Amino acid sequence: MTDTTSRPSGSDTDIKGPGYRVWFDAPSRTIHFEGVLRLSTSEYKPIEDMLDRVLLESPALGLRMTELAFLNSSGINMLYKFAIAARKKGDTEIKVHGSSTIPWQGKSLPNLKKFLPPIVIALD
Amino acid sequence: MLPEDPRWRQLLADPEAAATLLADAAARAEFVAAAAALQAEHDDLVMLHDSTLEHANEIEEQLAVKIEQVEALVVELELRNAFIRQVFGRHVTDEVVNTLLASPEGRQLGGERRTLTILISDLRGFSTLCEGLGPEQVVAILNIYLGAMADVIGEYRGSINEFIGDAILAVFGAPVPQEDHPERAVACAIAMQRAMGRVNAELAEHGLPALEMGIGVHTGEVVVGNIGSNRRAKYGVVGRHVNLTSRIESYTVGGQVLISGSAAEALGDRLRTRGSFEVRPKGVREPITIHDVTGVDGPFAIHMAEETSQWRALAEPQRLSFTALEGKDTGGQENPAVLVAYDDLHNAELHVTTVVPLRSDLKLVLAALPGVDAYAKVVASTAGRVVVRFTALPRALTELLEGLPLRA
Repeated sequence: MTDTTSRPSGSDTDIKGPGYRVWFDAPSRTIHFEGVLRLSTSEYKPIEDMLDRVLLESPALGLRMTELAFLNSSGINMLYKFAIAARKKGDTEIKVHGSSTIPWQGKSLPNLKKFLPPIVIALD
Repeated sequence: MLPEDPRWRQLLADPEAAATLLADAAARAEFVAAAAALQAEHDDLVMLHDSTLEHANEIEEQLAVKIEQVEALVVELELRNAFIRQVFGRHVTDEVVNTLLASPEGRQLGGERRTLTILISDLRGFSTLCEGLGPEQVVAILNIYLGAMADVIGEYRGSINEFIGDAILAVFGAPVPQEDHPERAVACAIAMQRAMGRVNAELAEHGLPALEMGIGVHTGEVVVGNIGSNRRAKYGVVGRHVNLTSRIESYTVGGQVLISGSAAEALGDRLRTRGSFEVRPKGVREPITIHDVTGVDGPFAIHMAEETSQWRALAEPQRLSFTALEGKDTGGQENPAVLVAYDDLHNAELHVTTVVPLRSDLKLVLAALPGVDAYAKVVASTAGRVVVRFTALPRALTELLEGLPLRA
Protein backbone atom coordinates (compact mmCIF):
# COMPACT_ATOMS: atom_id res chain seq x y z
CA MET A 1 0.00 0.00 0.00
CA THR A 2 1.60 3.20 -1.17
CA ASP A 3 -1.45 5.27 -0.32
CA THR A 4 -0.42 7.90 2.24
CA THR A 5 -3.71 7.49 4.11
CA SER A 6 -2.62 4.02 5.12
CA ARG A 7 0.45 5.35 6.88
CA PRO A 8 0.28 4.56 10.56
CA SER A 9 -0.11 7.37 13.02
CA GLY A 10 0.03 7.76 16.78
CA SER A 11 2.90 7.07 19.17
CA ASP A 12 5.43 4.24 18.93
CA THR A 13 3.36 2.19 21.41
CA ASP A 14 0.04 2.96 19.74
CA ILE A 15 0.09 2.49 15.99
CA LYS A 16 -3.08 3.35 14.11
CA GLY A 17 -3.99 3.21 10.44
CA PRO A 18 -7.15 2.92 8.37
CA GLY A 19 -8.99 -0.08 9.75
CA TYR A 20 -6.42 -1.19 12.29
CA ARG A 21 -4.77 -0.36 15.59
CA VAL A 22 -1.83 -2.04 17.33
CA TRP A 23 -1.16 -0.76 20.82
CA PHE A 24 0.74 -1.72 23.94
CA ASP A 25 -1.00 -1.79 27.27
CA ALA A 26 1.87 -1.36 29.73
CA PRO A 27 0.10 -2.41 32.99
CA SER A 28 -0.95 -5.79 31.54
CA ARG A 29 2.12 -5.98 29.26
CA THR A 30 -0.13 -6.86 26.37
CA ILE A 31 0.02 -5.79 22.76
CA HIS A 32 -3.45 -5.54 21.25
CA PHE A 33 -3.90 -6.24 17.55
CA GLU A 34 -7.23 -4.91 16.24
CA GLY A 35 -9.05 -4.62 12.92
CA VAL A 36 -7.73 -5.59 9.51
CA LEU A 37 -3.96 -5.70 8.95
CA ARG A 38 -3.06 -5.81 5.28
CA LEU A 39 0.16 -3.84 5.11
CA SER A 40 3.21 -4.46 2.94
CA THR A 41 6.35 -5.99 4.50
CA SER A 42 8.07 -2.60 4.92
CA GLU A 43 4.93 -1.05 6.39
CA TYR A 44 5.03 -3.58 9.23
CA LYS A 45 8.36 -2.10 10.41
CA PRO A 46 6.86 0.14 13.15
CA ILE A 47 4.93 -2.82 14.57
CA GLU A 48 8.00 -5.04 14.33
CA ASP A 49 10.03 -2.40 16.20
CA MET A 50 7.41 -2.13 18.92
CA LEU A 51 7.40 -5.91 19.44
CA ASP A 52 11.22 -6.00 19.70
CA ARG A 53 11.35 -3.03 22.06
CA VAL A 54 8.66 -4.33 24.37
CA LEU A 55 10.25 -7.77 24.59
CA LEU A 56 13.59 -6.14 25.36
CA GLU A 57 12.08 -4.43 28.43
CA SER A 58 10.78 -7.65 29.95
CA PRO A 59 10.45 -11.33 28.90
CA ALA A 60 6.74 -11.50 29.82
CA LEU A 61 4.43 -10.42 27.02
CA GLY A 62 0.86 -11.00 25.93
CA LEU A 63 -0.32 -10.70 22.32
CA ARG A 64 -4.08 -10.24 22.07
CA MET A 65 -5.46 -11.11 18.59
CA THR A 66 -9.11 -11.66 19.47
CA GLU A 67 -10.07 -8.40 17.73
CA LEU A 68 -7.87 -8.99 14.70
CA ALA A 69 -10.22 -10.03 11.90
CA PHE A 70 -7.64 -10.25 9.14
CA LEU A 71 -3.86 -10.57 8.90
CA ASN A 72 -2.15 -10.86 5.52
CA SER A 73 0.88 -13.03 4.70
CA SER A 74 3.39 -10.25 5.38
CA GLY A 75 1.79 -9.82 8.79
CA ILE A 76 1.98 -13.47 9.79
CA ASN A 77 5.54 -13.57 8.42
CA MET A 78 6.48 -10.70 10.73
CA LEU A 79 4.92 -12.53 13.72
CA TYR A 80 6.76 -15.77 12.92
CA LYS A 81 10.05 -13.86 12.57
CA PHE A 82 9.37 -12.25 15.93
CA ALA A 83 8.87 -15.74 17.39
CA ILE A 84 12.21 -16.86 15.92
CA ALA A 85 13.93 -13.81 17.43
CA ALA A 86 12.33 -14.54 20.80
CA ARG A 87 13.48 -18.16 20.66
CA LYS A 88 17.04 -16.98 19.93
CA LYS A 89 16.83 -14.51 22.78
CA GLY A 90 15.63 -17.28 25.10
CA ASP A 91 13.94 -16.87 28.45
CA THR A 92 10.62 -15.43 27.27
CA GLU A 93 7.08 -15.90 28.54
CA ILE A 94 4.88 -15.03 25.60
CA LYS A 95 1.20 -15.81 25.56
CA VAL A 96 -1.03 -15.33 22.52
CA HIS A 97 -4.79 -14.88 22.91
CA GLY A 98 -6.72 -15.69 19.76
CA SER A 99 -10.23 -16.48 18.70
CA SER A 100 -11.28 -19.73 17.07
CA THR A 101 -14.24 -17.92 15.48
CA ILE A 102 -11.75 -16.12 13.21
CA PRO A 103 -10.89 -18.96 10.79
CA TRP A 104 -7.25 -18.12 10.00
CA GLN A 105 -6.32 -17.81 13.69
CA GLY A 106 -7.17 -21.44 14.45
CA LYS A 107 -4.67 -22.55 11.78
CA SER A 108 -1.93 -19.95 11.78
CA LEU A 109 -1.48 -19.03 15.46
CA PRO A 110 -0.67 -22.61 16.65
CA ASN A 111 2.18 -22.61 14.06
CA LEU A 112 3.95 -20.04 16.29
CA LYS A 113 4.91 -23.02 18.46
CA LYS A 114 7.10 -24.38 15.67
CA PHE A 115 9.24 -21.26 15.95
CA LEU A 116 8.96 -20.74 19.68
CA PRO A 117 8.06 -23.98 21.50
CA PRO A 118 7.46 -22.39 24.95
CA ILE A 119 4.90 -19.91 23.56
CA VAL A 120 1.38 -20.36 24.98
CA ILE A 121 -1.52 -20.19 22.49
CA ALA A 122 -4.97 -19.65 23.97
CA LEU A 123 -7.93 -19.71 21.58
CA ASP A 124 -11.35 -18.64 22.87
CA MET B 1 28.48 -15.94 10.11
CA LEU B 2 29.83 -18.17 7.37
CA PRO B 3 29.33 -16.10 4.20
CA GLU B 4 30.74 -12.91 5.79
CA ASP B 5 34.16 -14.37 6.57
CA PRO B 6 36.42 -14.05 3.46
CA ARG B 7 38.14 -17.31 4.49
CA TRP B 8 34.94 -19.28 3.99
CA ARG B 9 34.37 -17.75 0.55
CA GLN B 10 37.85 -18.82 -0.44
CA LEU B 11 37.17 -22.26 1.03
CA LEU B 12 33.98 -22.72 -1.02
CA ALA B 13 35.65 -21.52 -4.24
CA ASP B 14 38.87 -23.53 -4.03
CA PRO B 15 38.96 -27.18 -2.78
CA GLU B 16 42.81 -27.04 -2.47
CA ALA B 17 42.63 -24.02 -0.18
CA ALA B 18 39.85 -25.76 1.83
CA ALA B 19 42.11 -28.74 2.55
CA THR B 20 44.85 -26.42 3.78
CA LEU B 21 42.51 -24.33 5.92
CA LEU B 22 40.58 -27.22 7.49
CA ALA B 23 43.85 -28.93 8.46
CA ASP B 24 43.86 -26.43 11.30
CA ALA B 25 41.73 -27.85 14.20
CA ALA B 26 40.55 -24.46 15.51
CA ALA B 27 39.50 -23.32 12.06
CA ARG B 28 37.75 -26.67 11.51
CA ALA B 29 35.74 -26.29 14.73
CA GLU B 30 34.82 -22.77 13.75
CA PHE B 31 33.65 -23.94 10.34
CA VAL B 32 31.51 -26.73 11.74
CA ALA B 33 29.85 -24.27 14.15
CA ALA B 34 29.18 -21.81 11.35
CA ALA B 35 27.75 -24.55 9.15
CA ALA B 36 25.46 -25.68 11.99
CA ALA B 37 24.24 -22.10 12.53
CA LEU B 38 23.59 -21.82 8.81
CA GLN B 39 21.69 -25.09 8.82
CA ALA B 40 19.55 -23.87 11.75
CA GLU B 41 18.79 -20.61 9.95
CA HIS B 42 17.97 -22.55 6.81
CA ASP B 43 15.56 -24.75 8.76
CA ASP B 44 13.91 -21.64 10.25
CA LEU B 45 13.54 -20.07 6.80
CA VAL B 46 12.03 -23.22 5.32
CA MET B 47 9.58 -23.38 8.24
CA LEU B 48 8.87 -19.65 7.88
CA HIS B 49 8.24 -20.11 4.19
CA ASP B 50 5.97 -23.13 4.67
CA SER B 51 4.02 -21.60 7.57
CA THR B 52 3.54 -18.31 5.76
CA LEU B 53 2.35 -20.19 2.70
CA GLU B 54 -0.03 -22.20 4.87
CA HIS B 55 -1.47 -18.94 6.22
CA ALA B 56 -1.75 -17.53 2.69
CA ASN B 57 -3.55 -20.69 1.56
CA GLU B 58 -5.98 -20.40 4.46
CA ILE B 59 -6.72 -16.78 3.60
CA GLU B 60 -7.09 -17.65 -0.11
CA GLU B 61 -9.44 -20.48 0.79
CA GLN B 62 -11.66 -18.03 2.68
CA LEU B 63 -11.42 -15.60 -0.21
CA ALA B 64 -12.60 -18.30 -2.62
CA VAL B 65 -15.57 -19.07 -0.35
CA LYS B 66 -16.41 -15.37 -0.14
CA ILE B 67 -16.20 -14.99 -3.92
CA GLU B 68 -18.64 -17.88 -4.31
CA GLN B 69 -20.97 -16.26 -1.79
CA VAL B 70 -20.78 -12.89 -3.56
CA GLU B 71 -21.44 -14.55 -6.92
CA ALA B 72 -24.46 -16.34 -5.50
CA LEU B 73 -25.70 -13.04 -4.05
CA VAL B 74 -25.22 -11.30 -7.40
CA VAL B 75 -27.30 -13.98 -9.12
CA GLU B 76 -29.99 -13.67 -6.45
CA LEU B 77 -29.93 -9.88 -6.69
CA GLU B 78 -30.28 -10.00 -10.47
CA LEU B 79 -33.24 -12.34 -10.12
CA ARG B 80 -34.85 -10.03 -7.59
CA ASN B 81 -34.20 -6.95 -9.73
CA ALA B 82 -35.64 -8.67 -12.77
CA PHE B 83 -38.69 -9.66 -10.75
CA ILE B 84 -39.16 -6.16 -9.33
CA ARG B 85 -38.76 -4.65 -12.80
CA GLN B 86 -41.23 -7.13 -14.21
CA VAL B 87 -43.85 -6.44 -11.55
CA PHE B 88 -43.40 -2.70 -11.05
CA GLY B 89 -41.39 -1.57 -14.05
CA ARG B 90 -44.48 -0.88 -16.14
CA HIS B 91 -46.17 1.03 -13.39
CA VAL B 92 -43.41 3.31 -12.14
CA THR B 93 -41.63 5.32 -14.80
CA ASP B 94 -37.83 5.47 -14.87
CA GLU B 95 -38.10 9.19 -14.25
CA VAL B 96 -39.83 8.65 -10.93
CA VAL B 97 -37.31 6.05 -9.84
CA ASN B 98 -34.32 8.14 -10.93
CA THR B 99 -35.67 11.33 -9.36
CA LEU B 100 -36.34 9.58 -6.08
CA LEU B 101 -32.98 7.80 -6.01
CA ALA B 102 -30.94 10.79 -7.18
CA SER B 103 -31.74 13.08 -4.27
CA PRO B 104 -31.36 11.99 -0.65
CA GLU B 105 -34.46 14.08 0.10
CA GLY B 106 -36.29 11.89 -2.40
CA ARG B 107 -36.42 9.14 0.16
CA GLN B 108 -37.61 11.39 2.97
CA LEU B 109 -41.21 11.86 3.92
CA GLY B 110 -42.78 15.22 3.20
CA GLY B 111 -44.39 17.09 0.37
CA GLU B 112 -44.82 20.31 -1.52
CA ARG B 113 -47.69 22.17 -3.16
CA ARG B 114 -47.66 22.03 -6.91
CA THR B 115 -50.03 22.61 -9.80
CA LEU B 116 -50.32 19.37 -11.73
CA THR B 117 -52.66 17.68 -14.15
CA ILE B 118 -54.40 14.62 -12.79
CA LEU B 119 -55.78 11.83 -14.96
CA ILE B 120 -58.20 9.24 -13.65
CA SER B 121 -59.49 6.41 -15.81
CA ASP B 122 -62.04 3.81 -14.86
CA LEU B 123 -63.70 0.88 -16.58
CA ARG B 124 -67.42 1.06 -17.18
CA GLY B 125 -69.38 -1.76 -15.64
CA PHE B 126 -66.31 -3.74 -14.67
CA SER B 127 -67.86 -5.05 -11.44
CA THR B 128 -70.88 -6.39 -13.37
CA LEU B 129 -68.55 -7.89 -15.96
CA CYS B 130 -66.46 -9.60 -13.26
CA GLU B 131 -69.45 -11.35 -11.73
CA GLY B 132 -69.52 -14.00 -14.43
CA LEU B 133 -65.74 -14.53 -14.53
CA GLY B 134 -63.20 -16.53 -12.55
CA PRO B 135 -60.46 -14.74 -10.60
CA GLU B 136 -57.77 -15.79 -13.12
CA GLN B 137 -59.79 -14.25 -15.94
CA VAL B 138 -60.31 -11.02 -13.97
CA VAL B 139 -56.57 -10.75 -13.32
CA ALA B 140 -55.80 -11.63 -16.97
CA ILE B 141 -58.14 -8.85 -18.16
CA LEU B 142 -56.66 -6.31 -15.74
CA ASN B 143 -53.08 -7.22 -16.68
CA ILE B 144 -53.74 -6.79 -20.40
CA TYR B 145 -55.67 -3.57 -19.83
CA LEU B 146 -53.44 -1.96 -17.17
CA GLY B 147 -50.28 -2.99 -19.02
CA ALA B 148 -51.42 -1.30 -22.23
CA MET B 149 -52.54 1.84 -20.38
CA ALA B 150 -49.28 2.02 -18.41
CA ASP B 151 -47.35 1.92 -21.70
CA VAL B 152 -49.37 4.83 -23.09
CA ILE B 153 -49.01 6.87 -19.89
CA GLY B 154 -45.26 6.20 -19.97
CA GLU B 155 -45.06 7.44 -23.56
CA TYR B 156 -46.58 10.75 -22.48
CA ARG B 157 -44.23 10.94 -19.45
CA GLY B 158 -47.03 10.68 -16.96
CA SER B 159 -46.39 8.91 -13.70
CA ILE B 160 -48.85 6.38 -12.48
CA ASN B 161 -49.64 7.12 -8.90
CA GLU B 162 -51.72 4.07 -8.28
CA PHE B 163 -54.00 1.41 -9.63
CA ILE B 164 -57.20 1.25 -7.65
CA GLY B 165 -58.74 -1.96 -8.89
CA ASP B 166 -59.54 -1.18 -12.51
CA ALA B 167 -59.03 2.56 -12.06
CA ILE B 168 -55.75 4.37 -12.80
CA LEU B 169 -54.60 7.56 -11.10
CA ALA B 170 -51.78 9.23 -13.04
CA VAL B 171 -50.20 12.66 -12.67
CA PHE B 172 -48.40 14.89 -15.13
CA GLY B 173 -45.90 17.53 -13.97
CA ALA B 174 -44.44 15.56 -11.05
CA PRO B 175 -42.03 14.41 -9.84
CA VAL B 176 -40.26 15.85 -12.88
CA PRO B 177 -41.73 19.30 -13.61
CA GLN B 178 -43.33 19.66 -17.05
CA GLU B 179 -44.43 23.01 -18.48
CA ASP B 180 -46.95 21.32 -20.78
CA HIS B 181 -48.53 18.92 -18.28
CA PRO B 182 -52.21 19.74 -19.13
CA GLU B 183 -51.60 19.13 -22.83
CA ARG B 184 -49.67 15.92 -22.20
CA ALA B 185 -52.44 14.61 -19.93
CA VAL B 186 -55.29 15.34 -22.35
CA ALA B 187 -53.37 13.93 -25.33
CA CYS B 188 -52.52 10.89 -23.20
CA ALA B 189 -56.19 10.39 -22.33
CA ILE B 190 -57.10 10.36 -26.03
CA ALA B 191 -54.23 7.96 -26.77
CA MET B 192 -55.49 5.70 -23.99
CA GLN B 193 -58.97 5.64 -25.52
CA ARG B 194 -57.48 4.87 -28.91
CA ALA B 195 -55.43 2.04 -27.37
CA MET B 196 -58.64 0.38 -26.14
CA GLY B 197 -59.19 -1.03 -29.65
CA ARG B 198 -55.94 -3.01 -29.33
CA VAL B 199 -56.78 -4.02 -25.75
CA ASN B 200 -60.18 -5.36 -26.75
CA ALA B 201 -58.71 -7.20 -29.74
CA GLU B 202 -56.21 -8.89 -27.40
CA LEU B 203 -58.96 -9.71 -24.89
CA ALA B 204 -61.06 -11.23 -27.68
CA GLU B 205 -58.08 -13.42 -28.69
CA HIS B 206 -58.10 -14.85 -25.17
CA GLY B 207 -61.87 -15.29 -25.24
CA LEU B 208 -62.32 -12.44 -22.76
CA PRO B 209 -65.06 -9.78 -22.88
CA ALA B 210 -64.49 -6.27 -24.23
CA LEU B 211 -63.95 -3.27 -21.95
CA GLU B 212 -65.10 0.34 -22.02
CA MET B 213 -63.23 3.08 -20.25
CA GLY B 214 -64.01 6.64 -19.19
CA ILE B 215 -61.32 9.23 -18.40
CA GLY B 216 -61.43 12.45 -16.38
CA VAL B 217 -58.63 15.05 -16.56
CA HIS B 218 -58.24 18.07 -14.31
CA THR B 219 -55.52 20.65 -13.57
CA GLY B 220 -55.20 21.93 -10.03
CA GLU B 221 -52.98 22.47 -7.03
CA VAL B 222 -52.20 19.37 -5.01
CA VAL B 223 -49.71 18.24 -2.42
CA VAL B 224 -47.11 15.85 -3.85
CA GLY B 225 -44.43 13.97 -2.02
CA ASN B 226 -43.58 10.85 -0.11
CA ILE B 227 -46.66 10.07 1.90
CA GLY B 228 -46.97 7.35 4.50
CA SER B 229 -44.82 5.95 7.25
CA ASN B 230 -41.12 5.13 7.23
CA ARG B 231 -42.07 1.49 6.84
CA ARG B 232 -44.36 2.03 3.89
CA ALA B 233 -44.28 5.27 1.96
CA LYS B 234 -45.08 6.10 -1.62
CA TYR B 235 -44.68 9.07 -3.89
CA GLY B 236 -48.23 10.28 -4.18
CA VAL B 237 -50.64 13.18 -4.61
CA VAL B 238 -53.42 14.31 -2.31
CA GLY B 239 -55.91 17.14 -2.24
CA ARG B 240 -59.45 18.06 -3.18
CA HIS B 241 -58.47 18.37 -6.85
CA VAL B 242 -57.73 14.66 -6.90
CA ASN B 243 -61.27 14.00 -5.65
CA LEU B 244 -62.66 16.46 -8.18
CA THR B 245 -60.91 14.59 -11.01
CA SER B 246 -62.59 11.43 -9.82
CA ARG B 247 -65.98 13.22 -9.90
CA ILE B 248 -65.34 14.44 -13.45
CA GLU B 249 -64.48 10.90 -14.46
CA SER B 250 -67.78 9.68 -13.00
CA TYR B 251 -69.70 11.72 -15.63
CA THR B 252 -68.12 9.79 -18.50
CA VAL B 253 -69.56 7.01 -20.55
CA GLY B 254 -67.36 4.42 -22.23
CA GLY B 255 -64.90 5.87 -24.73
CA GLN B 256 -65.23 9.41 -23.42
CA VAL B 257 -62.62 11.90 -22.17
CA LEU B 258 -64.03 14.68 -20.00
CA ILE B 259 -61.81 17.50 -18.79
CA SER B 260 -62.29 20.40 -16.38
CA GLY B 261 -62.36 24.09 -17.29
CA SER B 262 -58.87 24.61 -15.85
CA ALA B 263 -57.39 21.88 -18.06
CA ALA B 264 -59.32 23.19 -21.09
CA GLU B 265 -58.07 26.73 -20.45
CA ALA B 266 -54.46 25.54 -20.42
CA LEU B 267 -54.91 23.98 -23.86
CA GLY B 268 -56.68 27.05 -25.30
CA ASP B 269 -57.45 26.86 -29.01
CA ARG B 270 -55.57 23.60 -29.37
CA LEU B 271 -58.46 21.77 -27.72
CA ARG B 272 -61.18 20.12 -29.85
CA THR B 273 -64.46 19.24 -28.14
CA ARG B 274 -68.01 18.13 -28.81
CA GLY B 275 -69.08 20.86 -26.42
CA SER B 276 -69.27 21.49 -22.73
CA PHE B 277 -71.80 21.21 -19.91
CA GLU B 278 -72.14 22.28 -16.31
CA VAL B 279 -72.31 19.85 -13.43
CA ARG B 280 -72.63 20.18 -9.69
CA PRO B 281 -70.62 17.39 -8.19
CA LYS B 282 -71.34 16.36 -4.64
CA GLY B 283 -69.23 18.24 -2.13
CA VAL B 284 -68.36 21.01 -4.60
CA ARG B 285 -69.92 24.41 -3.95
CA GLU B 286 -69.80 26.04 -7.39
CA PRO B 287 -70.99 24.26 -10.52
CA ILE B 288 -68.10 23.29 -12.77
CA THR B 289 -67.83 23.20 -16.55
CA ILE B 290 -66.83 19.97 -18.18
CA HIS B 291 -65.58 19.64 -21.76
CA ASP B 292 -66.20 16.56 -23.88
CA VAL B 293 -62.87 16.17 -25.70
CA THR B 294 -62.51 14.91 -29.27
CA GLY B 295 -58.93 15.93 -29.98
CA VAL B 296 -55.83 18.00 -29.37
CA ASP B 297 -53.96 20.05 -31.99
CA GLY B 298 -50.37 21.34 -31.75
CA PRO B 299 -47.26 19.43 -30.73
CA PHE B 300 -49.24 16.58 -29.13
CA ALA B 301 -51.81 16.42 -31.95
CA ILE B 302 -54.11 13.41 -31.55
CA HIS B 303 -57.81 12.84 -32.16
CA MET B 304 -60.41 10.33 -31.09
CA ALA B 305 -61.10 7.50 -33.49
CA GLU B 306 -64.37 8.07 -35.36
CA GLU B 307 -67.29 6.19 -33.85
CA THR B 308 -69.92 5.15 -36.38
CA SER B 309 -72.69 2.73 -35.79
CA GLN B 310 -76.01 1.77 -37.26
CA TRP B 311 -79.18 2.00 -35.18
CA ARG B 312 -81.24 -1.18 -35.08
CA ALA B 313 -84.95 -0.67 -34.49
CA LEU B 314 -86.69 -3.57 -32.76
CA ALA B 315 -89.75 -5.09 -34.43
CA GLU B 316 -91.12 -5.67 -30.93
CA PRO B 317 -90.08 -2.86 -28.53
CA GLN B 318 -89.11 -4.20 -25.10
CA ARG B 319 -90.86 -3.07 -21.95
CA LEU B 320 -88.61 -2.20 -19.04
CA SER B 321 -88.55 -0.28 -15.78
CA PHE B 322 -85.81 2.11 -14.76
CA THR B 323 -84.70 3.80 -11.58
CA ALA B 324 -82.61 6.97 -11.41
CA LEU B 325 -79.54 6.45 -9.22
CA GLU B 326 -78.23 8.89 -6.67
CA GLY B 327 -74.54 8.23 -6.28
CA LYS B 328 -74.24 4.48 -6.47
CA ASP B 329 -77.15 3.66 -4.17
CA THR B 330 -80.37 2.68 -5.82
CA GLY B 331 -83.24 4.35 -4.06
CA GLY B 332 -85.31 6.20 -6.60
CA GLN B 333 -88.75 5.46 -7.91
CA GLU B 334 -89.36 2.86 -10.63
CA ASN B 335 -90.49 4.26 -14.00
CA PRO B 336 -91.82 2.40 -17.01
CA ALA B 337 -90.15 2.75 -20.41
CA VAL B 338 -89.85 0.98 -23.73
CA LEU B 339 -86.58 0.11 -25.48
CA VAL B 340 -87.15 0.74 -29.18
CA ALA B 341 -83.65 0.66 -30.74
CA TYR B 342 -79.98 -0.04 -29.95
CA ASP B 343 -76.59 0.12 -31.65
CA ASP B 344 -73.16 -1.54 -31.51
CA LEU B 345 -71.75 1.20 -29.29
CA HIS B 346 -74.02 0.21 -26.42
CA ASN B 347 -76.48 3.03 -26.98
CA ALA B 348 -80.22 2.45 -26.67
CA GLU B 349 -83.22 4.59 -27.43
CA LEU B 350 -86.00 4.54 -24.83
CA HIS B 351 -89.50 5.92 -24.91
CA VAL B 352 -90.33 7.34 -21.51
CA THR B 353 -93.30 8.98 -19.82
CA THR B 354 -91.34 11.26 -17.47
CA VAL B 355 -88.60 13.84 -17.94
CA VAL B 356 -85.21 12.24 -17.37
CA PRO B 357 -82.36 14.72 -16.85
CA LEU B 358 -79.29 14.52 -19.07
CA ARG B 359 -76.42 12.51 -17.59
CA SER B 360 -78.65 10.74 -15.08
CA ASP B 361 -77.42 7.31 -14.13
CA LEU B 362 -80.15 4.71 -14.52
CA LYS B 363 -80.67 1.14 -13.45
CA LEU B 364 -82.71 -0.76 -16.06
CA VAL B 365 -84.55 -4.06 -15.78
CA LEU B 366 -86.21 -5.51 -18.87
CA ALA B 367 -89.59 -7.18 -18.37
CA ALA B 368 -88.25 -10.11 -20.42
CA LEU B 369 -85.22 -10.47 -18.10
CA PRO B 370 -86.43 -10.01 -14.51
CA GLY B 371 -83.56 -9.91 -12.01
CA VAL B 372 -80.96 -8.85 -14.60
CA ASP B 373 -79.77 -5.31 -13.79
CA ALA B 374 -78.26 -3.13 -16.49
CA TYR B 375 -76.83 0.33 -15.90
CA ALA B 376 -76.80 3.26 -18.30
CA LYS B 377 -76.21 6.99 -18.49
CA VAL B 378 -78.53 9.39 -20.27
CA VAL B 379 -76.61 10.96 -23.18
CA ALA B 380 -79.56 12.68 -24.92
CA SER B 381 -82.94 13.65 -23.55
CA THR B 382 -86.04 15.15 -25.18
CA ALA B 383 -89.70 15.00 -24.20
CA GLY B 384 -90.82 11.38 -24.25
CA ARG B 385 -87.51 10.08 -25.61
CA VAL B 386 -84.03 9.50 -24.22
CA VAL B 387 -80.85 7.94 -25.54
CA VAL B 388 -78.86 6.05 -22.96
CA ARG B 389 -75.40 4.59 -23.13
CA PHE B 390 -74.99 1.37 -21.20
CA THR B 391 -72.28 1.54 -18.56
CA ALA B 392 -72.87 -2.04 -17.47
CA LEU B 393 -74.42 -4.37 -19.97
CA PRO B 394 -75.07 -7.93 -18.74
CA ARG B 395 -74.35 -10.62 -21.31
CA ALA B 396 -77.93 -11.95 -21.00
CA LEU B 397 -79.26 -8.59 -22.18
CA THR B 398 -76.87 -8.42 -25.16
CA GLU B 399 -77.86 -11.94 -26.17
CA LEU B 400 -81.57 -11.13 -25.82
CA LEU B 401 -81.27 -7.97 -27.95
CA GLU B 402 -79.25 -9.71 -30.65
CA GLY B 403 -81.85 -12.49 -30.84
CA LEU B 404 -84.79 -10.13 -31.35
CA PRO B 405 -86.22 -9.51 -34.84
CA LEU B 406 -85.55 -6.07 -36.26
CA ARG B 407 -88.02 -3.77 -37.94
CA ALA B 408 -87.73 -3.96 -41.69
